[in-house]
This record gives sequence, structure tokens and C-alpha cells, in this order.
Amino acid sequence: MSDSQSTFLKHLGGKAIARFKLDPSGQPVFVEAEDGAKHYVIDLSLPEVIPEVSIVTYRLHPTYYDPVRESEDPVTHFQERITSFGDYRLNIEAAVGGRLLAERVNLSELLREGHRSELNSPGIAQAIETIEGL
Amino acid sequence: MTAATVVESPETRIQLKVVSVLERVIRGKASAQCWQVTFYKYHRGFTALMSALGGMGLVQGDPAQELWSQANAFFVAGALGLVLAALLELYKAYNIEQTAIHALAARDAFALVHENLDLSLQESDPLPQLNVVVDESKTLLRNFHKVMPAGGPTVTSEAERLGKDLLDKNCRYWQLPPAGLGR
Repeated sequence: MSDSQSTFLKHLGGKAIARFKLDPSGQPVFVEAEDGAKHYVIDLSLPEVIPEVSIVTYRLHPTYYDPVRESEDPVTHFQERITSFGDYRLNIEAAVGGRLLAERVNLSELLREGHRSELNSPGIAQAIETIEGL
Repeated sequence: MTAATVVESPETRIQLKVVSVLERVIRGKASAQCWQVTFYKYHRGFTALMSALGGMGLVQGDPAQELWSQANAFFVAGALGLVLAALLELYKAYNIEQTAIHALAARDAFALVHENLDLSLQESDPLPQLNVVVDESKTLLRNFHKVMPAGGPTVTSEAERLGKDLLDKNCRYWQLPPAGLGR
């Protein structure tokens, strides 16, 4: 774990998470692209929010039209919805007062963290494996 | 589910960012509307006035009248000195000058962000340049958050109104790509 990640964890009390959007039967929702790739619908957020956090910025893969996403909404735990068919490293930055805390992490790691208690679900496990394989 | 239901259009993404930057601009510019800035301006004006009066000439008139006037002047000057000393202590104790300078700097910096926002929207695809302005506004927000007033529904609605004007003015320059899914 890098120093910046330690700082992030220390001040925010936990890692950022990612969760698939699930349909009523608990299966991850996806959009199928023309080439057949499954683009899963994913919500990024912070697990525990301390009041001092004002903005969270998610810096995504540069292939997104808008790779810089921001959330200023503590009520939703600074949630931001994205789609993805594969794994990549993203930067998460949280503005805490005058400081900027940053974490660089793989999307699949965030998904595993967000679905920690549901990794036995075949749909979720398969979706994570699909993402990790691309 | 189709791509259109999960992916916001480029126009929507631009609009969201413009409103977000304008909220910060409105708050940044409003930083200077605090009592510390008013106090600071009066203090500076008063200091300049005192300096000018100190440099003025002698009192004219008959000597007896002048003596009486001088006695009065000493009393008034003493009282004024006490009041000024008290005010100066308050000024120092509450870091009024520092706060005011910070607030005025925030106002000027965010005015520049407002100009850069307008310029960024004149590109054929404004998003890359707009993201630079977004980062700039976030850096200023971190630097000046102590002197910036909080946001709220009034600020948001004002930002939306200003944003609509700005987008209506500049959208004629745009040639945006179709909405895509990204990685």
C-alpha cells in the first residue's frame, strides 16, 4: 500500500468502494455494446463520510468522454455512476478542508471491497472476473 | 438497458460541470462581502486620512483662542488615541487584515476562473479545457475555503441561471461527439 493510500485510509476511515447496479434478481446490470462487450453499470462512492470532506473526484480511464467525475453530495456518500467493461487504475481524490487526499486503485479492487459480503453470488463473482480479465 | 439510459450526453456533462464551477465562482466572488473586508477598507481609508491630516499646516487665529483650541485638541486627540488603540487591538486579535486580504484575493481569483470558464466553452469540444477550469476552481476552493461563504439552493439556482446564459451564448461553437460508454 502506498503512502497516499495510507493517508486516505487514515483520514477517511475506510477505502472507497464500487458496487454493481443490481437488477431485482440480484444480477449485475450491464449494457451490451455493438462489439458484444458487457459494460457493467457501477456506482463509485466512499463508505464512511466524515463531515470535512467537501468534494470527491474520480479520475477514470482516459477513454471515457469525461474521465474527470466529481461529486459534492455527502448524502449519497459522494456517489458517481459509471459504466465499465474492463479493469483499470483510477484515482480517487477527496478534498478535506484545505487538504487533498488521493488514492490510486484498481476498479476490480473497489468492486471486491463493495461486494465483500456477496462474493459467493455467482453473478457478481462472474462479473468481477469478466472485468478483471479485460 | 441501452447506452442512452446509463450514459449522460456530452451536453449534460458539460452543463453539470459549468454549474458546478459557477457555484464556486459565485461563492468565491461573495467572499469579499464580509464585515472584515468592510472594516479593512475603512481602516485603510482612515489611516490615509490621518496621515494626510498629520501633514497639514498650523491653526490660525488669535493666540488666546488658539491656546483654548490646542487644549481641546489634546483632549480629543487623547480620547481618539484610546479608541484607535482599542480598535487596533481588535483588528490584530481577529486577524481582520489577513482575512480581508484573503477574501479579496479569492474574489479576484474566482473572477479570473469565470473568464476562463467562458473561454473554455468557446472550443469545438469544450470538455478538456473545461476540466482544467474545474481543477483550477477546486484548487482555489481548497485554498480559500475558510473565507468563502457556504453554498445552498440560492447559489445553485443562480449558478444554473448564469450557466444557461453561458451555454446559450457558446453552444454555437461546439461539435460534440456522440455519447459513448468509455472503458
